[in-house]
Amino acid sequence: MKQSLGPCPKCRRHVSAGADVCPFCGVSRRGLLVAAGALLVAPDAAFAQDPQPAYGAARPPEHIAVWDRVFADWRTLYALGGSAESWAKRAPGTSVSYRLDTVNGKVDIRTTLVEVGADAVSLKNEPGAVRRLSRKPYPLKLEKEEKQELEIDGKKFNCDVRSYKSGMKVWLTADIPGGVAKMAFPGETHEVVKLSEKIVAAGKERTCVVWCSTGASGGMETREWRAEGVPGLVVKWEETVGKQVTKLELTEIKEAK
Amino acid sequence: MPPRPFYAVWEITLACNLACRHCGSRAGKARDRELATDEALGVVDGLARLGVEEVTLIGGESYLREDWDVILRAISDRGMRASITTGGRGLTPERALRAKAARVTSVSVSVDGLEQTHDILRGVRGSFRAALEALDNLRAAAIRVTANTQVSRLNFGELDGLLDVLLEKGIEAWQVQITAALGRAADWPDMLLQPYDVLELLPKVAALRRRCRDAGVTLEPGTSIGYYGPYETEIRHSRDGGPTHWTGCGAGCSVIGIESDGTFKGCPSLPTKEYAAGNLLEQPMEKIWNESPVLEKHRSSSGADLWGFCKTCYYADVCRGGCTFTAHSFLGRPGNMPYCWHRADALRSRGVRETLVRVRPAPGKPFDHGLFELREEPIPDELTPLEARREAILGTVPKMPATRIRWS
Repeated sequence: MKQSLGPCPKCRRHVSAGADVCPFCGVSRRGLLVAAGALLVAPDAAFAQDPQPAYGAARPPEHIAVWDRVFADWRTLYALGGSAESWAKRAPGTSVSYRLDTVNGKVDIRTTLVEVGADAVSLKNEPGAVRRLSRKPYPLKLEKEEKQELEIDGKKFNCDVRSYKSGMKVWLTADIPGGVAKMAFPGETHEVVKLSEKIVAAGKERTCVVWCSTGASGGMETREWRAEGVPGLVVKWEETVGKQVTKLELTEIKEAK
Repeated sequence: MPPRPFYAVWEITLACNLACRHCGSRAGKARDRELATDEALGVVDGLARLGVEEVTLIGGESYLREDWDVILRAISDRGMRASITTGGRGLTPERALRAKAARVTSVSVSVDGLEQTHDILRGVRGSFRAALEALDNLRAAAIRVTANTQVSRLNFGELDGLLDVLLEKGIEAWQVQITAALGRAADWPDMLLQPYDVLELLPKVAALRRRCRDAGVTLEPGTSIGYYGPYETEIRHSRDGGPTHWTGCGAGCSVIGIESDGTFKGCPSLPTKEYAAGNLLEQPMEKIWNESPVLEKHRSSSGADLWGFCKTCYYADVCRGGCTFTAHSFLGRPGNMPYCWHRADALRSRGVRETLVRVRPAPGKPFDHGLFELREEPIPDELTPLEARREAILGTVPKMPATRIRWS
């Protein structure tokens, strides 16, 4: 059986659990036991994550991954859906706060507008780094354009449908906030499923458009509530994988002048 | 009973559009025989049956294979996380979207220093800008991006500046590792770190990790960085309540490596000649995993199999000689790891240090190695910091052998 090791409280080098004194600095066994106890209350243990692979692709922290899926999603490719433009209308210093609730615990995250540029808006995430949301559509190769009727929530919309060489398809209509009704990719579909649902968030009732995302392989569903009055639009986001639910809920908006 | 692997790294082609001077596989031209699409999809099934949770596609450059996203999608469809490690050259918006459509979970772009250093190491002018463009294209396609960096004497002084660039590009995690003398890296010994350099490297990695933590980014030390010094807990701090230190090489235990001709190893970077456990075109994956004597020998290795300094080490039973491929690539066999903080510190307390001197060049095959000798010498009175040695190393850049590079 392998020996069990813990760091020495004085010199921080790992020492066998059975040692009476640290062989490197000479601190006593009592000190070693205190060090072993300290290990059980690591400061960020409440926000655990999977072990990292030893080679190649290290995994990002969970709250950053969720932030990206919510704010820097497919719609940013086309600079459609209004998330970046919603920020661009506001003054730097404006912020939105959310409570992220995952199987690993809860964490409060805040996004603050740093700068509005011609090509992108810069947002500071706490905890996290500065991110940029593009305001310009990416140079994608268009294959086909057509008209199609789409029924959402019992109402019919005449959409412009654009198909791209990469396999993506987007349904556009000015009659839906954000201008996008549906986006489809080989393997994934994102679509508006409700045009108007009222929910209370950050102390106020908000009328939301509800988006639903599903994968072709099934098993995972994401719902997102978006409202015009919220910087970045996102009021609530929920992802369900089997019995596991991850939730993001708006808790506060601070508008800078 | 063999353990269950959770992570596989799969070289799907050796074709590459870069000519990296530290490439362990000497990539450039595809292997004479690489797995056909149906054979590759059979490998995906095999990995799923073994219980693998994540598969990282590498090359060469994985997307130079026409069916790269078919393989990627098959991995996702079988419920495994599918990721890519790439040099980024030619990772266009279209390729990024194909990766997204195939449900890639994250892409790690290799960036080995600031512009001049990266371009020298990657052997192609413009490759630094290409790597940064790849990060932009991936981010625009809403793909989670990470980065990885090989640390050598050439780029040690640029790590802080490089982190600034990577944070600006929105990376979410960064893996750093020591360049081992594998493949082409063995042809340029002056560029490689010396064993005593880890006394400077470990505090640097710990400081970078603190910077990353403040930015919400994970810094992941590679398997060759350690071991057991005062920085060990900080750099290997486990947030899942697991050990806070190196626990031995995971090759053939939790990790699988596959080469594009079907060669199966316990880790992608292990020298092929000595560690090929079988070929997937000749044997089912389960049979190789469960019955290969090569894998079994590595799994059952213990402190008793070590030699040199490692044999006498306080941590021998837990450490088992550090990173197997790094140790083997220098000294021709595993069990004595030259890059180790604990080792360098023990020698320092005696007033000596070890240097690695190449005594036999590598033959020039993918995943090959030469032979280095460890020599002990007194520590000089005046030490030159690692960062100050870059200019001298630039004068030793070797000429590249003629390599066929695919440009698209």
